[in-house]
Amino acid sequence: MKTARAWTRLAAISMAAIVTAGVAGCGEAEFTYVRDRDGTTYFKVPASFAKIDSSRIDSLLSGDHPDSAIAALRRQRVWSTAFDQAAQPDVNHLISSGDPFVYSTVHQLTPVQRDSVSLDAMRDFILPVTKQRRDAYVMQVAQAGQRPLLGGFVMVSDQPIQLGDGARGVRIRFEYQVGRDVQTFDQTAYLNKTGETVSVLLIRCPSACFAKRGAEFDRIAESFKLLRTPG
Amino acid sequence: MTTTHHAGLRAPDSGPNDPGLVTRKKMRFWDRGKFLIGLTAAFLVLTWKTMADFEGVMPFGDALRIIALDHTWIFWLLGAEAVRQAHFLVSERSAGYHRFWSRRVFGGFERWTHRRFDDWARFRLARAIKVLFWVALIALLLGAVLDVSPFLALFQAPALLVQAAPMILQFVFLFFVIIIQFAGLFWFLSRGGIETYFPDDIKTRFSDVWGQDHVVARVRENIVFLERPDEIEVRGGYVPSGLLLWGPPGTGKTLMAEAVAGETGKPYVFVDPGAFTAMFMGIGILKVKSLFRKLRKLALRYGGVIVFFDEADSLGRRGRLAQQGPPGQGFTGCHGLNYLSEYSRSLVTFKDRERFFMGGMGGGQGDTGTLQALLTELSGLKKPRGFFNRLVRRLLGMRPKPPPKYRILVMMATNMPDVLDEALLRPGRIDRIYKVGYPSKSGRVRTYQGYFDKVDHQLTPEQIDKLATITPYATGATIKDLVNESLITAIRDDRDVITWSDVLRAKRLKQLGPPEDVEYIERERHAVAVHEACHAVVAYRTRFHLEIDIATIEKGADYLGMVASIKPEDQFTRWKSEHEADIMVSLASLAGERMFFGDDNSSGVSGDLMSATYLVGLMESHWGMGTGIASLPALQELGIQAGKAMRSPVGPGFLQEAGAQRESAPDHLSERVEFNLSRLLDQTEELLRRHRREVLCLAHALETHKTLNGDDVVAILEGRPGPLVDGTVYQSEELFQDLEEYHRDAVRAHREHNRVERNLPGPVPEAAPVEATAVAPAITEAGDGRPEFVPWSPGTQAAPGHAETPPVRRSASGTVWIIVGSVLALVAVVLFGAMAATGVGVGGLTPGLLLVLFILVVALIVGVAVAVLAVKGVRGAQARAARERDQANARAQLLAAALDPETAMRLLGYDGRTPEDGHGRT
Repeated sequence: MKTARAWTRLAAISMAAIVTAGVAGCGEAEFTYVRDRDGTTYFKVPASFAKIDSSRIDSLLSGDHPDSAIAALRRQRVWSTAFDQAAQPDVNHLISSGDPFVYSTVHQLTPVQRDSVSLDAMRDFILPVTKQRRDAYVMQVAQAGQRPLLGGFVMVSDQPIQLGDGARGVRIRFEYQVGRDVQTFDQTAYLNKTGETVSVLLIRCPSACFAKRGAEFDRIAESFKLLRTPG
Repeated sequence: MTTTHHAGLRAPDSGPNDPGLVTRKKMRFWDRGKFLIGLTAAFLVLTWKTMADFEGVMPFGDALRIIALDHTWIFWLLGAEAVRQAHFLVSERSAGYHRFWSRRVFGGFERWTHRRFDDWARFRLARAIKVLFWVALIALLLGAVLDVSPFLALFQAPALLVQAAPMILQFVFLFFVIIIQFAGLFWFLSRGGIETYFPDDIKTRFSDVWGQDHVVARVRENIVFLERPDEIEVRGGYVPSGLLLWGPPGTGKTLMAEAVAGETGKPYVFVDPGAFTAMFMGIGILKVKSLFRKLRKLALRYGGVIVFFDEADSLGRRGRLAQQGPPGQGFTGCHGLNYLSEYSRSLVTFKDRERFFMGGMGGGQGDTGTLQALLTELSGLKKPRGFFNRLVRRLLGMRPKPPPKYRILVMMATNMPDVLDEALLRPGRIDRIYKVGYPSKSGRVRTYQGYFDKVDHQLTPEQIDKLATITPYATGATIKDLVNESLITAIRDDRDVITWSDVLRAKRLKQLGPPEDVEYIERERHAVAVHEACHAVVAYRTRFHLEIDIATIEKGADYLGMVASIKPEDQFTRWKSEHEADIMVSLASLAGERMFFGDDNSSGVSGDLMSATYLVGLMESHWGMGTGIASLPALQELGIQAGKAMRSPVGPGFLQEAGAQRESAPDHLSERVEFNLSRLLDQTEELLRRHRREVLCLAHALETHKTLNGDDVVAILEGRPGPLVDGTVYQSEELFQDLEEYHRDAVRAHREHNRVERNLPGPVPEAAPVEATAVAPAITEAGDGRPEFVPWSPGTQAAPGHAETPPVRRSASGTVWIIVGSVLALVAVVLFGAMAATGVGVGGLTPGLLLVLFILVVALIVGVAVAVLAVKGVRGAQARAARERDQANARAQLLAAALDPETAMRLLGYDGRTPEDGHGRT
C-alpha cells in the first residue's frame, strides 16, 4: 500500500518535472516543422527561415492565371510552401538570391500525369534538368524572343531513392548560372507507394553558400519524408 | 413531539456541530491529483501524437514545445486545477482560511443547493459535472489529434471506433473462442435436475394425503397466502416464503408436495435431490442461479411459483459435522436391546453418536458454494436486478427500480433435518418448519381404510381399528406396503379377498422378515424357548405400558427368537417404574437361564445385559431415578468429578424400597449401577421362581407352535382359550409334570451335550392359522442352482408361478428325423403332383429335371424350417426372459419383506426421538 502510494507520487512528480522542463526551460523550438495538407509529407527547416506565401511560385511554374478555373482546380490538387532566409523574403528568391531558399510542393497527380510519371519526370518537376527538357526550355525561350534565365547547367549528383514501403524517388543536385551567380539546387522528389502523389523539396543557395553550409541543407533534405501509414 | 434516540453512529451533519472539525477534511492523494494527472496525460498524448506525425524528425523537446504553444488551454486548466488544489491544501491547514471560504464565499451557494436539491440530486449533479469535464477533455484531445474542432471530434469518435471495429472484433472473437469452451461445457453441465409442472399436470390432491391433517391444513394455508398475498400484505405482514417438511421416511412429505402441485394454480418446480451434486466445482452454483432465474421468471409470469426441494439434506451444510450417525451404524449382532421399549432403545442406539460420529462425516454432498449460493438467492430476492435496471439506469442518473415482488414458495422435504444448515432454516428463508410425523391413530385408520378400499377384503371396521392400534408407527408407505403384502398373501392362497389372518401374516412377515428355515436341535430349541418365555413372562408380569405383540423362536436374520411388544396407547413421558420394568425384562434372560439351567447361562444374554446396564447407568446419572441427583453430563461438562451420592432420608431414592439393603448400597457411581442391576436381577429371579410354571408352559407352547401372537401368549399364561391357541390345556397338572420332566431331560442333555431322550410332551394342536411352516416363504435351491419360489400355503403346491412351467422338450435327434421325413414326403407329393398335372409319365422325367425339382423343394423346406426354428428360438428366449424376470421380482419381494421397515428406518439413521413399538429379539 505504502509502496503503491510512493510510486504514484513519484510518477506525478516526474510528470510535472517533464512538463516544466520541456515547456518552461526551452522557450521556442529550434526548427519549424512543416506538414502538407494531408499530413503525408513532412520536413523541418531551421527556425531562422521565414515562411512566405508560395502561391505565386505555383502560378509561375504552372503558367496559369491565378484567378482561372484551372488554377482553382490546381489549388485543390497542389499544396506548397516556401521558406526564405533572406532579410527581405520574396518568392523570386526561388531562382536566385544570396541566401538559402526552400520550396516544397505536393501534387495529387491527374490520371494522365500518373500514367506518365517517371524518375525523369520527377527530376524535371520544377526546373528543367534532363537534356530533353533543357533543350525544350531553350527553344521555348528562343521562340518567345527572350534570353534564357537559366544557363550553364551542371549535374552535381543524381541518386535514385527507394523508400521501404514501395515509395521511391530521386535526389539530384545541380547548378545553374542565373545572372552572374552560380546557384546550386538540391531537389528531392518522391512518388508515394500508390503512385498518385509526388512530393518535392527544393533547396537553393549560391554554390559558395552550399559549399559552406552543405551539412545544414543536407539535414533539411534528410528530414523530408513521407509518413508511413499502417496497412 | 418525538425524540430521536441515536444509537451508534450519527448521520453526517445530523447532530450538533463538531467543534473539532474546523479545517477541511484531508483529501485522498488520488482525489487531489486526478485532474492534474488527467490533464498531464492529455498533454503527453498530444505530444506523442505530434512526434508520430513527424516520425523520425521531431525530438521530444520540440514536440513538447509545439504542443505547449498550440494548446495553451491545457496549461490554463492545469493552472486552475493547481490553484484549486492549493486552495484545498491551505484549507486543510488553516482553520480561518477554510472558515472564510466555506462560510463567507461559498456558504450561501452551499446552503442554496442544500435547500434546492436533495442529497440524491446533488450527488447526481456533481457526478454529471465531473462526467462533463472528462468528456470535454476527451473532446479537446480528439479535436487536437484529428485537427478538427472538439465538438466535431466528439462526433467523429464513433467513426474512429467503427474503423477500429475489425481489430476489436478480432480480439473479442479470440476471447470468446477461448472462453466458450469452458462456458459451453459448464452450460451443458448445469442443465437438468429441474422439472416444471403446470396446474393440471399432476392429479394428486390434498384429499389423498391421509392422517396428516394438521400439516396439510398449514401447507394449504401457505398456498392460500401464495395465491392471495394481499390478504396478509395489506395488513402489514409478509407472505411466509419457505416451508420445511421433515419427518421419518414414508410419512407423506413428498406426497404432500405432490398434492401442493396438484392443488395450486401456480407452476410447480420440482428439484431433484441430485441436481446439485456435480462433477465440477461451481456447477452447483450455476444450477442454483439458473434455477432461481427460472423461478423469478415464472413468478412474474404466473404471479407466483412453488419450488420443491426433495431430500433437501442433499444440499448439505457447511463446515459443521453431521450430528446424525451415518446409515447402517446402528446395532448389529445379537443383543438384548430389542427387549427395550423403543424409547429406551433409541437412547442406547444413539448413545455413541457424539463420541464416534462427530469425528468425520462432514454431512452434505453438495459441492462447496452451492448451499451459499442457495442461501443468497433465497434472501437476495429483494435487491434490484438486471443489467439495464442496475447499470444503465444508474449511468443515466436514475435510481434503479426496486424489484417486483417475486412470489416464490420454497418447499423442502427431508428426513434428516439435523443435516440442514441452520442458516437455511432461519425465518425469511424457511419460515415454517413442520414435522410430518407418524400419522395419528385416526390417520392410520383412515389410511388403512383408504388402501383397503382399493382391494377386496373382509375386514370389519373394528379389525381395521385394531390393526391401526397394533401398528403404532406405521406410515403411509408401510401401510400401503402392508396392505399390498396382505393381498399377496391372499393371492398365494388362491384367494381374491383379504382376510384378517392374511393381514396378520403379512404384518408378521413385514415385522420379522421371513424366518430362516432352520431346525434347532431339541435341547437348543428348548433353551431358546425358555429364554424367550422368561422375557415374555417378565414382560407380561411387570411391563404394563407395553403389550406383547408376538413371541417366536424361529430363527431370523439376526436373532434366534424374539418377544416383540407394542404400545397400546400413545404416551410421551417415561417413568422410573417403566424403565425398571424394561430392565427386568432384559435381565429375565440371564435370571431365567441361570434358574432353569443350573446356574449356566449362554452368551445370548450379552446384549440384554448391555442394554440393562446402560439404562441403569442413565437412571443413576441422567434421570434422577437413582441414589444421586446430580446429572453426570452436566458434571462432565463442568469438569467436576462425579462424587458420592448424598443419601437423603426422605428423597425418592432408588433404594427407598430396598429397605434393609439401603445401608449396604455403595457410593461410587459404577458400583451403584452394579448394585442396582443385581438388585433387579434378584427381583427378576424371584418373579420367575414364582412363575416357573408359566415359563415352562409358554416355552412348551413356543416349541410347539414356534410363533405365538400376543393374545395367545396371554391366553397361555392365563390358561384360557386364545384366538389361535387353546391355553386351557396348560391347566392340566399332568401336562405340567410332563413338562417338568421334559425340562429335566433337556437340561441333562444340555449338560451332557446329548440328545433329549423323550419327545415333546402334551397335545400337539391342530395347525394354527399362523403356523410357522405355513407362514414361512422359503427360498430353496432349485435344480439349476437358482432359488425358486415355494408357496406359503402347503396345500396349494401349484402356485401361479409354477403353472407355466416350460413344456418338456423333445430330443434333438427326434426333431431331425421328423424334418427329414417331412422333406422326403413333401418331395414325393410334389413330384407326383407335378407328374399328374403335366400328364407326363415317369419315363418322361429326365434325371436333370428331377434333380432340379428335388433341390428346389429341399431348399424351400430347409428355408421354412430354419425360419420356424428361428422364430421358435426367439419366442423361447422371450419366455425364458419373462420367467427370469418374474423370479427376480419374486426374489426382490422376498428381500423387501425380509427387511423390517422399522429396523430399516433405524439402520438408516433416523434419530428415533419418537418411540416406536418395542419388540425384542435374541
